[in-house]
Order: sequence, then C-alpha cells, then structure tokens
Amino acid sequence: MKAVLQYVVLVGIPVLIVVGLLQIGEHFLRAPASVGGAWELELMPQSVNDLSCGDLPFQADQPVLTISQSGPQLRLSFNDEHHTTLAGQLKDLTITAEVVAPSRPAESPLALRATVDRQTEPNRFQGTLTAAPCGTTLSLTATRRPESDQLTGNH
Amino acid sequence: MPQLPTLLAQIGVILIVSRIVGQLFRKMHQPQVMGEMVAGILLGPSLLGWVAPGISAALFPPESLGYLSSLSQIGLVLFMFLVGLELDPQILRGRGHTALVTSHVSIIAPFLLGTLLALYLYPRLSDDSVTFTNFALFLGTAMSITAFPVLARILAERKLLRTPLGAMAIACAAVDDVTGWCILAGVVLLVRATGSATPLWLTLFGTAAYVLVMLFVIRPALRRLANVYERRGFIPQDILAVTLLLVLASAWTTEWLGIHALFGAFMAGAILPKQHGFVHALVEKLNDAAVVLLLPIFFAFTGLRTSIGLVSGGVMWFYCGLIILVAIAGKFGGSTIAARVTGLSWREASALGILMNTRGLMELVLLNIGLDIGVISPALFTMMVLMALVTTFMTSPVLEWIYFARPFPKEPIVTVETESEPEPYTDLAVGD
Repeated sequence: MKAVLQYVVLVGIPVLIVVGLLQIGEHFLRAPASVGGAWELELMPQSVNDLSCGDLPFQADQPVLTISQSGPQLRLSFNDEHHTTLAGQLKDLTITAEVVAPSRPAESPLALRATVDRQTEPNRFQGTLTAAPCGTTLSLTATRRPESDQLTGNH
Repeated sequence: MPQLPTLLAQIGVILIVSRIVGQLFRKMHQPQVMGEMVAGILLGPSLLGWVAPGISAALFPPESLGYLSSLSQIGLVLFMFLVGLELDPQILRGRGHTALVTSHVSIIAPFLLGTLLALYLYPRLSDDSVTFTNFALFLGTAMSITAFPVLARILAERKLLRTPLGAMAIACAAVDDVTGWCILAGVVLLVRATGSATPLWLTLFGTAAYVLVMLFVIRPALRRLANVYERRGFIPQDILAVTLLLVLASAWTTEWLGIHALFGAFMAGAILPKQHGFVHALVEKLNDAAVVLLLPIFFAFTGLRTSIGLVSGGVMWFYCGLIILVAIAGKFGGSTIAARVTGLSWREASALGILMNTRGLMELVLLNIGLDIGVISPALFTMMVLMALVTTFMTSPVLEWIYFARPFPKEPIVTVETESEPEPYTDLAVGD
C-alpha cells in the first residue's frame, strides 16, 4: 500500500501536471510562422551582371535561399560559392535580414526585407533585396521548395 | 559510385580524429565516447568549417553527406540492437519496486521541468509547423533520457557494478531506457501522424500487433538460436545472418509503422534470449564494427549538423544555459530525491542522481531523430547537443567528488550477490 501511495504521489501527480501544462501551452501559446527551408528566388531585374555590384550571391543561375529558423531568429544562406549568409528576424510575418559583418572585402552589404502572406500564399514571399554598391533595390519573389527536395535539418 | 574516394577520405579522417580526441579524453579520466562526441563537433561547422572552410567544403561536400548519413544510420541500427541486447530483466529481480519508482521519478521529474521549459521556449525557438504538444513532449523526453551504455561503462570502470548503488543504477537506467524509447516512439508517431496519410488508429494497431508478435512469436523462436550456440560453443555465420536479418526486419517494420527504425532495432535486441554466453558472443562479433567504425561516423554526422554559430548572442546563450540547468536539475535532482525516498543514503542517492544524469550518445540519437522529423530547430539541436556534452562530461568528476572523495563511515563498499556472471554489462564497449 505504501508503495502504491509512493508511486501515485511521486509519479501520478506529476503526470497530471504535465497533461495540464500541455493543455495550457496548446491553448495559449503561439509560435512564429514557419519560414524555414529552401526557397527558390526570382529577381527583377533578372540580370544584374551589368550593375557594378561586385561579388553578389544571387548571380548564380538558380538562386536559392536557405532559411534556418529558430523561433523569430533567422539565418539566411545563398547558394553562391561563398555561401553568403545573412542574419535576420521574423516579426509579424515580415522578414528583415542583412549581412552583419562582411567576411571578405568583395562581399556586398546586402539587406533583405520581405513579407509572407500566410492566408493566401504561405509558400511564397515577396520583398526587396538591397545591394548597397549597386545603389539599387531588386524586387524578389521566393517560392518554397517541396520538403522532399530539401535536405533535412530545417523546418 | 563517384563519391567513393570522398567517402573513404571522410571515414579515414573521422576515425583518426575520433581516436586521437577519444584518447585525450581518456587521459582526462573521461569515457572515450565523450572524446568521440567532441571529435564529431570539431569536424563540423563549429570548428573545421569555421577555421578552414575550404578544407571543410572539400572534405564534406553537401552532396556527399547522404552516404555518410546512411552509414551512420546503419551504425545506429546495429548499436541500438546491442543496447537492447544488454538489457536483461534479471537485473530487476529483488529491486523491481524501488527501481521502478526511482526510475519513473527520474523520468517524470525532468519531463515535468522540460514541459515547463517548453512553455518558455516554444514561442522563442520553435515555429508554427510544430504543435506545442509535440515540442513539449520531445523536450521532456530529451531531458529524461539516460545513456545506459555509458553509465554501464562508468560503473564498470569504477568497479561499482556489483555494489547496491551500481545494481540500482543499472536497473534504473534499464527501466529508463525502455520507458524513454517508448515515449519517443509515441512522440515520433504523433509528429508523423500529423502529416501522414495513414490513419493514426492503423499505426497504433500495427504497433501493438508488432510488439505482440515480437514477444510471443519471435521471442520463443529465438531460443533456438541460443540453443545452437549452447551446443556448438560458437555462433555459426548462418545464425549471425539470421540474427542480422531479424534486426533489419524489425527496424524496417517500425520505420514502416512510423515509429522509427531505431525502435525496432532496440526491440530486436531486447527480446533476444539473455543467456550470457550467447549475448557475449553476439556482442563480440558486432561490437567492434558498430562502436569503432560506425559510431564515430554518427558522431561526425551529428557534428556536421551542430553549428555553435547558431547560438549567437547573449539571449541564445541564456536559453542554452537554461536548458543545461533544467536538464541537470530535473534528472540529477529528480533521481536523487526519488532514491532517497526509496531508502538510499544521501550519498548513494546523489551518486545515483549524477549517474542517471549521464546522457551521452543516447541523447544524440534522440536529438538527431528530433531534427530529422522537424520537431526541433537547428539552433535548439545545437543547444541540446551542448547539454548532452556537459551532462556526460560532468558525470565522472562529480561522481568522484560525491561518492569517492570522502571516506566511507563504516563499510567501504558493500557488494551484492547476484546470480549472473561477473560484470555482465561490460560487453558493449562504448568508451572502451
């Protein structure tokens, strides 16, 4: 009898508390929108070769942006030779990111600002990419790659 | 296979680095497996990719990682089979109730704290592709896990296996392992069921049928394998092939059911007859390939996914510290209190607590599953890997300080009589 009582107090009650906490979390907590994964980019204008932009990451044939997400914190990597990386934030469905500290002299200061439309197009986002040396702002449209095409590790 | 030279070079480098770092950690009185885990991280973006990105990109090009991943998964399937093989219900004899209570409290205490922590971390480190329930259940499970093989190795090295403390620790870790993997199977099932076309009831029914078939059909049949060993004194290659086929079939079934291949591999080991000679011979045949060759590949693969750079800034390091603190408070604190309530002295209870706090590579196995199914983010994965390293690293010195540093008041170390042969849990030489 003592053993059963011990088990109920030490195990049973905490289990009930866990169940209660799960209910509370499920009903009251909201996590940021999911933007993690690989996104195929379309840029306007399509060719930026004529611009004196230096070593830009999106001059690749098929620019892909991989977003690693941890809550509102984002890390965005282009598929260029140097894997140019931007650090960013997600706030109210708006992504803002920039190259924090250029790792090499030719790297351009980049800034990205985009908005995700969760209601109509959750797998697309639109925004702008500003490259300081060009003195110009490019508009971009990103389409999320299907999960089966992506490497694991991002969600 | 155009990637073969790359793969061979990768395996070579992984073996060299893991052996060297493993030896260095042995000199620091740490289990070798601790060094191998660190070696994996050194080969990833946290060190090699940071200081020598060119070499890292040449050695581990992204397109080659699929092969490395497959090899590491095969290694894990074999390893989990060996872990299951080491579990012997005999160790619960005479201490079933105490072990059950202590073990279940040592699971539920960190699980409860992990769920509380999830309330804080979910909006900060997760996203809406993961439900809170799945996130919290996974975090709770990750906080609760104990590294049975590493714990057994530490007990053997400290000559504690045949003491009341060692016997209790082994029994608790065994119950922990089984319970922890059952919870994880449930979590994986829940997460996969969210996006799966297969109805949940079908998966649950299939899982129940699988467990029943394994226990009441396969298990009795397997006694014949042990009998062949008893008659001949060695394991013929045909019997080894049948055993491996069983492992693969069991792993394939649980993967197909949606509860992960590793659970099937573990189950296959757990139901095999536990005649010590048979288990010993089987472990001897499979252990070296799994532990020396394939596990370091798993550690390296884990290291390649661990980017300490993702934990940047004071806030992220605060989250990381909080995770480590909660993990230690839950497992160490919970196990200690439970052991004290069930009759151990404070000294023994706290020694048991620190032993149960060892998470080691079992945590890494679990975390990789979490990352694969998308229930944790890469940054949270990195923080949890650091937690696994800290809790494993602290075990030996804290055990020394708690249990060995001060003289024993009366008897030195009391040994217990068991029916099993001496040191039955040292066959699986993790950290050897």
